[in-house]
This record gives sequence, C-alpha cells and structure tokens, in this order.
Amino acid sequence: MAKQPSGDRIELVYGSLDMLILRTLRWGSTHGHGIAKSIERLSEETLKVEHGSLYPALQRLQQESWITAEWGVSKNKQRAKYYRLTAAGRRQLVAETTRWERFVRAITGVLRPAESEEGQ
Amino acid sequence: MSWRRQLTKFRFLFRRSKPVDDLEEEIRSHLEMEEQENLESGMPPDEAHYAALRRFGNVTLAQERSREMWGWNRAETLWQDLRYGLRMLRKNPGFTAVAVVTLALGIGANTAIFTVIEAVLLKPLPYPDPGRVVWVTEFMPQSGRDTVLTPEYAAWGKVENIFDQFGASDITRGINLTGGARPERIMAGHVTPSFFPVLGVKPTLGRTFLPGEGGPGHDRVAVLSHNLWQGYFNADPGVLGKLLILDGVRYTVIGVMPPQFTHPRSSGEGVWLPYAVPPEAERPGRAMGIVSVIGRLKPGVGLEQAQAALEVVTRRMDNQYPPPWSRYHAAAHVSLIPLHDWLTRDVRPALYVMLGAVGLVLLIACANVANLLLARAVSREKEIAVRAAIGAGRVRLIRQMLTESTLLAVGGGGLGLLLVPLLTTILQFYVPGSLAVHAHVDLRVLALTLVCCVVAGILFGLAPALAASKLGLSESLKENTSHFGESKTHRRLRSGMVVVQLGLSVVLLVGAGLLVRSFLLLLRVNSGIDPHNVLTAEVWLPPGNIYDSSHQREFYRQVLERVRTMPGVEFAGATTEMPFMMFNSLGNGLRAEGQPEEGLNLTYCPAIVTPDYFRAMGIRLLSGRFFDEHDAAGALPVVILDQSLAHALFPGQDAVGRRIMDEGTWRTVVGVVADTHHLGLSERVMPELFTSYVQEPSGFMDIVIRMSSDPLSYVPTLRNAVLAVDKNQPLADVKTMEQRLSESLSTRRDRLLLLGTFAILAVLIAASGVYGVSAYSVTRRTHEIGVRVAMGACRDDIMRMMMAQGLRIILLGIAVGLAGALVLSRTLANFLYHTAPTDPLTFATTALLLGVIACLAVYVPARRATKVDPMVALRYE
Repeated sequence: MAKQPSGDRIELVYGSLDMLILRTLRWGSTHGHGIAKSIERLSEETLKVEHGSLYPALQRLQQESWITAEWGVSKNKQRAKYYRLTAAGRRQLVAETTRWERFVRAITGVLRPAESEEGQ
Repeated sequence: MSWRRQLTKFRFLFRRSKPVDDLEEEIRSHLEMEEQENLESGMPPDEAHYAALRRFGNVTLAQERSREMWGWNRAETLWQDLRYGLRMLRKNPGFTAVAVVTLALGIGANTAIFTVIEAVLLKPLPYPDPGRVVWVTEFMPQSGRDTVLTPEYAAWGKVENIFDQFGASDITRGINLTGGARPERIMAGHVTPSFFPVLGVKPTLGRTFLPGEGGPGHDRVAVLSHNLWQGYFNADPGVLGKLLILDGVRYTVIGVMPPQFTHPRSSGEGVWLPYAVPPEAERPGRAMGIVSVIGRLKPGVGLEQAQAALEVVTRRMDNQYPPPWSRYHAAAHVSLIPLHDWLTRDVRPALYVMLGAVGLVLLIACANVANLLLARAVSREKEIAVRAAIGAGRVRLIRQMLTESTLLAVGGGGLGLLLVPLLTTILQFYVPGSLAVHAHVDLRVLALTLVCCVVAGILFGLAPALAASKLGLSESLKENTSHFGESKTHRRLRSGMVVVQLGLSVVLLVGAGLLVRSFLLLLRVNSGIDPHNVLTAEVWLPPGNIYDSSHQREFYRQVLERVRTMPGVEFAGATTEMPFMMFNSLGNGLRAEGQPEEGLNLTYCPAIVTPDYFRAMGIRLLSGRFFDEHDAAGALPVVILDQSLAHALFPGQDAVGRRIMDEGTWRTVVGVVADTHHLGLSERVMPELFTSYVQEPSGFMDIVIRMSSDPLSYVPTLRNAVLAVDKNQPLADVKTMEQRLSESLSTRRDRLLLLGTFAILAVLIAASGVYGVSAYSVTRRTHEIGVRVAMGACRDDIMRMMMAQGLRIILLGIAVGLAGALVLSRTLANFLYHTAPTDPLTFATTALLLGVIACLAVYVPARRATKVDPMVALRYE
C-alpha cells in the first residue's frame, strides 16, 4: 500500500489534480484512461498519476457539476464513460488557472533572485 | 460545500446503486484499455495485464474513495463497521465478557459518583432564583468558628439596598410534642418571619409567619412540615387553626409546607415556630445569643459589595462588646457564602477525591482493555493485513478498530448503568440530610456516561488500532513470523499499559492505605470513656417557667432512682454534655485562686452532671473524689476538673482542695478526672469543668446508664420509668455509647471503605492485566521455550527468564506509582489523622503488597512455561 515517490516524478497534490483534469477536458470529451494518458503526456511524464486516484477526483468534479459523464464507445469499440466540461467547469478552469499562474509566478519570483545571487 | 453539490448528493441517495455499478464497469474498461496499449507496445500478454493493474493502483481503494465522494458511503461504512464489530465480539465471548465487565465496573463507578455529585453539588437548591440566597456569617479566627451574635444580626438588618429579604434562625432543637397517644420529641426550627421569603418557598396550606410575629404575645403560631401534617394530623385539610402542644405551650397551626421543603440544615424537622431577637439581645451583653443568618440579595448586588457593606457595620461595633467577646470580635470578619456552597462545604472535597479515585479506576480499566485489544490485534495481524491488501485504507482500518472498542465501551457502560442505583444508594449515606434525597440517574448523567463510554472506547482503542494499522503488509502476510515474539512496538505498548495500570493502582492503594493507617491510629486513641453496655437517651424538660430548678433536680433524681432499681443496671447518671455531640455551652475566663482577675484565656466546656455520671460513663477518677451526697444544694460549692483543665489552672500542682472562680462563684475542686475526647476521637481534647446537678440544676440532661448486658433491650423499661415520673416527658435520641462512638467515626469509615473498594478494584484489574500479559507472553513464546528446553535449558532457567521480564515491568510500575502517589496523596491531607500524606510505612507496605500480588500474577503463568513439553512446543504451529 505504501507509495514510494519514485525518482524524478512528482506526486500530484490534491487539488492540482482537479485542475489538470479540467485542463485535459478543455480539448473535448474523453474517458478516464484518456485523461490519465493525456495528463502524463502534457507534463512530459514528470507528473505521475496512479490511475486509480483519478476516479475519486472525477466523482468530486461531477458533484461540483464542473463535468458531466455519459457512456459511449471508444475507437477500439470498447464501452467507456466519457467526461465533458460544463460551462461552470470552464469558468472554474479559468479561475483555477489564473490562480495557479499567479502562484507559479510568485514562486519563480522568489527563486530567481536567489539563483542570480548564486551566479554572481 | 456548495448548495448545488448538496443537492446532487441528495438526489444521489435515491439511485445509489447506479454509479457503483458504473464505477466497476468504468474501471474494468480503463484496465482493458491500458492492457491493450501495453500489448501494442510489445509486452507479453501476462505482463501487459499486471502492468495495467500496477499502473492503476489499488482497485478497491479507488472504488471506495470514489464512492465516499458521494457521502452516503459514510453511514454505510459505519453500519458495516458496526456489524463487523459485533460479529468479531460475538466470536470471542471470553474476551468480550472480560472487557465488558472491566469497563462496566469502571464506568458504573464513575456514573454513580457523578450522579451524587450532580444531585449534591451541581443541581441548584429547590428555591426560586437560588443563586441570590446567601449564608451570612462571621468568621472568628481565634475560635476557628463561624458565629453570628444577635447584635450583629440586628445591626446588619438595618443596612439598606443590599438584601431583598434578611432572616435568621435560632439554633434548631428538639421540642416535646404532647397531646397524642404518647409524648414525642420533634425538631423545631425557630425562624424569623423573613426566613421563608428569603428562601422564596410558599406553604401548600395557610400562610407562613407575618412580620411582627415572634415577639412576646405573637409567638404562639406554628407552621407544620409536610411529614408532621401527614403523620400527626393524618393529612387533615382542615388542620389550620388546630392546636399543637409543644413543650407544654399551645400553638395554633397556621400553615403547612410542601413535602420537599426542609430546613436547609436538617431533614428531620417537624415544625417551625416564629422567632424574633429579643430587644435586650440586640445589644452586646450577657443576653445576646447566636443565630444562623441567611439573606436574599437584591438583583445585581454582588457578594463582595454586600460583604463590604456588612463589614462596615461590624467594624463600627468593635468597641461595644464586653470581654471576652471583644477580643474575638475585633478579629472577626464578615463572610457571605452562596447558600449552596455553604451547605455542601463538608462533602465537596470528599466527593472530588472520590471522583478522582473512580477516574483512576476507569483509566486502569481502559489500560486493561487496551491490553486485551493489543493482544488480540496481534492475533488478528493476518486478518488486518488481508483487509489492507484488498483495499482498506489506514483510516478505514483505524475506524473499524475504534468502532469495535467503542462498541465494547458502550456495552460496558450499559452494564455499568445497571450498577448505578446500587452504588448511588451506598454513596448517599455520605451526604448529609436534605441534600441527598434527589440523587437519581437523569439525562445529564446518561449523557456523561455516554461521553465516558466513547472517550474510553477511543482511549483504549486508539493505541491498538494505530499499532495494528501500521503493520508492514509483507511481514504479516508471510507465514510464521508471528510465532517468534511480537513486534517491539507492540511489546513496549503492552508493557507500558501494565506499567500504567500498576502505577495508578499504587496511587489508589496508597490513598486507601493512608486512610487505613489514620483509622487504625484513631482506634488506638483512648476516648476517656468506656462505651461498652452503656445506654443513653436525651430527656430534656421544656424550658421556661414550667419547671423551676428544684423541679428539674427532683425530676432527674426520681428518674435515676427508678432506673437504678431496674435489674441489670450498674450505674445510672446524667449529663448536660453528651460525649461525641456538639457542646451545648462553652465558657472562657476561668480563674484559679491567686491568679489575675481577667482569668485564663482558655475555652472550656462547663458540664452539669449527677454524681454517678462518671461511673456510668466509665470516666476514671485521677485524684480526689466524685460528687456525693455531701454536695447538697446549700453546701460548699464544689467542682470537678478534667486533667487538662486542672493542668491549665494549677500547672504542676495538685488541684484538689484548691478554689476556682467560675461565673462569679468560688468553687472548691474535689476531684480530677481523666480527659475525654468529647467531639470525637480525632478532635483535640476540650477542657471540661463539671458541677453537680444538685448545686446547679439544669433541665437539659441526657440519661446515661451502665448495664451488665445488652443495653438496647432496656429501652422500654427506661421509657416507662420516665413516663412514671412525668407522663408528658418523651425520650429522644436513644442510643448506646457504642453507637455514638461508631457514628462519630462513620464519615471516616465510609470514606475509607469507598476508597478502599476502589483501590481493591484497581488492584484486581491491574493484577488481571499483569497476569494477562505474562500468560500471553508464555503462549506467544511456547515455541521459543520449547527450543530452549530442547537445547538444554532447565526449568529454573525458564522460570528465571519469564520472571525477570515480568519483574522489570512490575518494579517500573510500582516506582512510577509511588512517584505519582507522592504528588497526589496531598489531596488527602485533610482526611488524615496523625499521618503524613507521605507516610513512609504506608508507601512501603503498599509497594510490598502490590509487588507480591503482581509477582504472583507473573509466577502462575511462568510456572506453566516451565511445564512446556519441548516436543509439543516444537510441533506447535
């Protein structure tokens, strides 16, 4: 059960996973497996998602009515549940993204002078 | 949580099964897709399948977590846990029974104590707005007493803007009720008309006293208690206006009080009579008396404000008092105490100590059950590992274990509640008079019990649950690991629990031991009297003008003469100051011949006795003689001193033949008798001065008869003797001296028994804990012991090994306990007699006693270890 953080993969923090899912769905509806894969791809495989942990997040997002789900058929003719962003979800994504970018800016702003000092 | 989310969740409740099925299917399809992908990337089929599973993580966990998002799951989980817990408990009836009984004792005792505390200390008095009712008194440091003199009361009553109502009662005393089938003695409260309004209680019939009633000419009215009305008047609704003959005086019944109303100081009251401070007693002087004062503060007036206002008045009166009162008065200060606090001041500390003691018992019980659970957790390691492997989260596991322990606690609590009525009944003997009547289990008590259960459940369940959930999966799943000892953490935790149990038991046992030692020391105190086969009875004549002093003298002479001729009577006497009772009077300022005029600043008790009193009571004569027929009414005034008074007045000399000045009369000392512990064995000796009833007649004497056999069978004979002399004279307070002695010790004895019971309970639980741990350890190590024996270890080696392990824990537990006791025993200081709270003998005895018991609890299983057959042990799986 114990999860060992492996190498250079960063464990996803609760909350940022929500944002990544919403972000993935911005390009159109897809199923759980698709979401997992595209998160891995988007982050160039540095962010590790244990696929199982996606599902509680998906339920949560449904409850917030940010996404909806419906059964469909994949290109391999497999039955799968497809998730789609709602209008509320889109708004949430914008808000979250803005907040996230501000956060990243703040962090890099703190880090950069330190680097430059080191460089001197 | 947004309202929308709430709404979705709510809707979801009604189609619960859908997303669950969905989820399974969804995950299956996810896994298939991943597997497909893996296959396409060139993995062999087997590996593709397992890689997909690995990538996904714990399937069950993901499902559970997903479902939990919908909230409904929580209730469902709880229900599951409950059912599972019940099943586990049912499957281990022995374990469950031991745990539940242990907890029942702990929780039951706590609930019982709390029931009494609730009734006595927390429930407000049954008066309207009881917070405003205060007890007003004056503390006199020199005498260590709370006393209010009538002039103070009169002056305080004139203070404005402090009290709504301000009342007083004279000392409550017995009164002779005649006119019925046979004379009775009932309690009469003499109270000012404002007394009832202070408490705010209205009569059920008629009225209480009107302002002005109580003075001469207006004092022949009576308010009945509910009991007297029911008993004496058969609950006659037309009782108002009827006559009641009390101490030979006719009173008109004007009212009946409700059933629950009793004088705050005693429950045996029968009647209230009006009282007013006589005008001459409002000024400092010989006529003044002592009253008990209560008041109802005006709304918004604080205690300090009222106290300050009365203090001003009191200080203004400092120079008005004659000696010896002036001395006391100058140092006295006013104190206002909420009536409830004042009434409970004696029981409060004892109840808190008891609450602390049962709290410790509960902790010990919890530690014991925690140990049982820990032991079981070890044998459940594999079960837990399996549950974790198939997807139970750590929190979920802990919750499951806590559910089980709380179930146990609630079971224990339920059983404990059954014990409560019994325990409360016992406890109520503790609490004086009217306060205890209302103790019963109510919602508040039940709530507390429930809290007790849940807290206890979490307390003893948490450590095992945490320990169990931390287990490494792979080790537990592997076979055999459990046969070689348990994990270090586990063993430490279990030993720690035993140390806690032993330590807490030491604390309780030391407490009980200190009380026992005090009690034993007390029993060795020479009371100065010989209580065997002595019958006593209060035979008080009505006060006032009905009997003059020659009448009083004649009455007691005739009664004693009759009694003396009864078979089995050895000596018959009488006294105004019955041992083990409060003093009826106290004096100060005695002067021996040749000493300065202001006399000795020594408080003494002047008693009036008949010549045979000393022989009847068994008080030894040290020098001189007892009173005899020479000490007639007109003869030389004589006096007998007790040893301490003789020593104070005539240090180093023989007092016999010397003269002393007492109340304006020179009296010659004819004898010196041994000291008696008048107020009880634990109280210091109060010097006593005896005069003869012939020379100083009194109407308030108690008869004392020394018999050759069982004195109680003579009660009817004594009653007839008294009735033959005066058909209107009842007996009251008929008791043997042994009863009185025993009653004087009862509070200490009750405390001792109660704390002793708790201590024994604690030791039993702790001993079973020690036993459990070592027995468990023997079972766990059977295999190891088998190996050792097979390798050539002899029985002594095995025994030594097992004992050494136990002894370390025992010694640590006792050491911890002794340290704890050193800190906590101080709370008992007020309950001890000539025993320091750190009494080394008690500490040593306790340690030894508990050590022996604990060693025995280790020895028995250890012996079993030595009997292990290596062949059986090695085969043992």
